[in-house]
Amino acid sequence: MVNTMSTEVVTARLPLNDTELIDFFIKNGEFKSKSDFFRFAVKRTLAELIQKQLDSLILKKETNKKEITKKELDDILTSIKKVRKEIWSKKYAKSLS
Amino acid sequence: MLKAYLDTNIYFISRINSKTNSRLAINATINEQFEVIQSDHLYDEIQSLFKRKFNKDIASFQIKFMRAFPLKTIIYKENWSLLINQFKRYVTDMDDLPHICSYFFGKCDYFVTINRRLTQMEIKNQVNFITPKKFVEKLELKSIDTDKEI
Repeated sequence: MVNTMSTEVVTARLPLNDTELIDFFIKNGEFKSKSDFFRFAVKRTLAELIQKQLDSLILKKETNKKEITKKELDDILTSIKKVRKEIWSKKYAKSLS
Repeated sequence: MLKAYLDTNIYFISRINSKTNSRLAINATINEQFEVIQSDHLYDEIQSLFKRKFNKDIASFQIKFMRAFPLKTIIYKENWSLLINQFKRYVTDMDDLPHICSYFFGKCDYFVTINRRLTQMEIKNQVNFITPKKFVEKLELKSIDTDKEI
């Protein structure tokens, strides 16, 4: 598995109470270090914010209320299959089949 | 911690309807209730599907969302392709293999999908396929009664 993500150092000022709690959880083995804690907290917060943003862009109240019909479900699966086939034949079929 | 590979259909359904078990499964990974295994091929599929069904901006936002999951491992082609020959005889469609092989490479406990076609292939004897509803119940969360357990 290769993960070549570039990083940037960010300095933040926090209340002592918070840093003491973070240290407590590091000692308890929940996190390896302060950086590990911040990476986790930032990722989780970002995921929640993006989820909200995507919901506001996609989910309309009316469509979100009703259940997905069998036909809609079949259409979704057919679209996914089509995309899957296209990517396979474009990127991998020659080298991996 | 439990590891699961979520099929493309789970990401899509969770996006179009929040009252589904697929959405509960996605929320559970944000809350680090399990480790999600993803693949570069999954990202390609999501990007292409979301571009077609919505638009380019939403597709790119969805990818950022998936990359922000705190507990995730991405399996790349150089790794999942090592298992192609081992498993190709068990699937009907070769294009399903990147997902299946990523599931194995990532040592997953479950492959969450609503795709019955996939779950009825010979590979079903080796892959622990599960519906979103049953998966949510495995996480000891309250599931939602929906058609096809989506």
